[in-house]
Amino acid sequence: MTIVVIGGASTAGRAAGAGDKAWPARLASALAGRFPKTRVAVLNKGVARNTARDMVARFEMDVLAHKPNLVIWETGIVDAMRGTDLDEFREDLQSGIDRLKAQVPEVMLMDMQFSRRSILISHFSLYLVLMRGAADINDVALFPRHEIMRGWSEAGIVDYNVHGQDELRLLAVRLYDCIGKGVADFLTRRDPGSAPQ
Amino acid sequence: MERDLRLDFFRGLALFCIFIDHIPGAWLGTFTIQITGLYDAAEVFIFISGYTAGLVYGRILDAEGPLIMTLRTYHRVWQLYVAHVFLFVMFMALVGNMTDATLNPIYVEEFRATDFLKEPGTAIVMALTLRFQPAFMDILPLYIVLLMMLPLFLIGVRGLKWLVLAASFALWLAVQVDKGIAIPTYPDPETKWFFNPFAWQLLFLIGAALGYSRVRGTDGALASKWLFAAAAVIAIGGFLIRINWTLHLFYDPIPSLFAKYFWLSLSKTNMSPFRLVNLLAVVLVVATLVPRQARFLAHRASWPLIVCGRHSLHIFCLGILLAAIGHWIINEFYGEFLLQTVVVVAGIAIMTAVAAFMDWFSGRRSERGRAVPQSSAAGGGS
Repeated sequence: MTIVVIGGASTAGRAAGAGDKAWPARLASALAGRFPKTRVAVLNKGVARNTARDMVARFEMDVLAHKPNLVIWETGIVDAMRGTDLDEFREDLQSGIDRLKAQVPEVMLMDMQFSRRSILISHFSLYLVLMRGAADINDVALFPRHEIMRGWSEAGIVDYNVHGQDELRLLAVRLYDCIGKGVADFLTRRDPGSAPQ
Repeated sequence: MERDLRLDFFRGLALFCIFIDHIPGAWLGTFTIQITGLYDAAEVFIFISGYTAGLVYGRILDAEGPLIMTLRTYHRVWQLYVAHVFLFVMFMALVGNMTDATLNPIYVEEFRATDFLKEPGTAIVMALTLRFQPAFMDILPLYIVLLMMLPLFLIGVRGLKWLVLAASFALWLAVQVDKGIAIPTYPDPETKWFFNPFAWQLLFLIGAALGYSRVRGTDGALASKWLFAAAAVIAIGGFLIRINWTLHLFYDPIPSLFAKYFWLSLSKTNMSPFRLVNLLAVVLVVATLVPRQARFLAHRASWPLIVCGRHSLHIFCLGILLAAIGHWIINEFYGEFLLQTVVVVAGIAIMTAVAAFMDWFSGRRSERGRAVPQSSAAGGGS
């Protein structure tokens, strides 16, 4: 079974230092632990600073060529940050979902990371709402990463206010591990927001 | 002419709704004006502002001529501009002092929105030229540009009403065809103004033309039975579609009808025809069904809306500032249901209190001076 994850910087996972610390790798190891008999390959196609449209342009080579059983499309943040016209973002999402649904059995969207700095981004919540709408209207799953990360922060499970390079790297490692497990829970229909370790 | 309280009432309502819509995740946001059709509070605010501007400056045009009218309008534009710059400074003060504003490498690749803090000189020039529109700072620049168009439009309407309206329509239509007709923003010139003024001008100027036609006593032309019937059908249709989407939001098994079709055709940036037509239909229906002396307007519960609508420029700016502070509070303390409600109620209370104070103060001033400036007496705060 092949899962392709296409996304941006938080999927590529450079903040954690190494590729095996990125969340798709953590997802792979979580799934391997749960389904020891199935060979699950998780391919990480994260590229920093990609907009939704940039990613759609990469679909052919980076996604469809691998004949995946499941595609997880993580996007939204660069568009929200750059202020991509909401209509264009909506069209990009729609064309991407159409492309994927035509050739891939299962498609899942993942929305943005949580950060308090999102206040700096005009209409940040509109992009979130729009992604939820895209999933709803096209009948594909959505991993509500923003809401889940906010929940962790609120419950004091993860403190995003750390300083110094090492501490930040450790935070990223932990965060990506939680997200990877969360996605594994989500795919195996457990509550993804429940206390990460 | 006696003040039309309906304008104040619905503009006050739009102001409250814009404030609520700006509070992140507020459950109340589901129940603002947008629940009644395919448009939202921004359209209502811009339409009524256009109508009031047509009323106020149209009257000045007829009484004192085009030069005085133009000067009065641009004095208002100047006030709006100063308000915008003030809001920008307040916003930067808020953002510059946020706890999470230090660069956090986990997000640094993604959240480069603070990059402008590194080049404040450029950012300030871009803000002064209305190119830089950080969160919440996009509707006042729209208003400024629309009001700048007004004098020429009103002068044109006097003699060549249908020609200027056709020109306005043509500009809107051009935007529908070519989305490249837009104003670029800073820091990324690829992105455009959230409210495209070349599209939104149509709504504002239709409002202004209607307001001016009331000054000239020619607004009876719209009192047609057939027009009302058509508007009622559109208004009810828009309402039913929208209520269906809201129900779907709360209970997934209810299918959302037409959502897939409307999904790509309800552009707010470029004022999609569905939003425009639906709003104008609702305006016609409400203006016909709600008389100027409607009893509810005199009711005590309507007073906060009316008083805020009357001082709309100040209350709008205050609302933007309160929304930014409310946004910060909710992000900082992870507010859910309860905190969101507290923030919304407190914000509305502050807006109402400030408007009430301004009302009292301007009432005192005009009593002492015995002369109310014409524009503010007739529906100022355009």
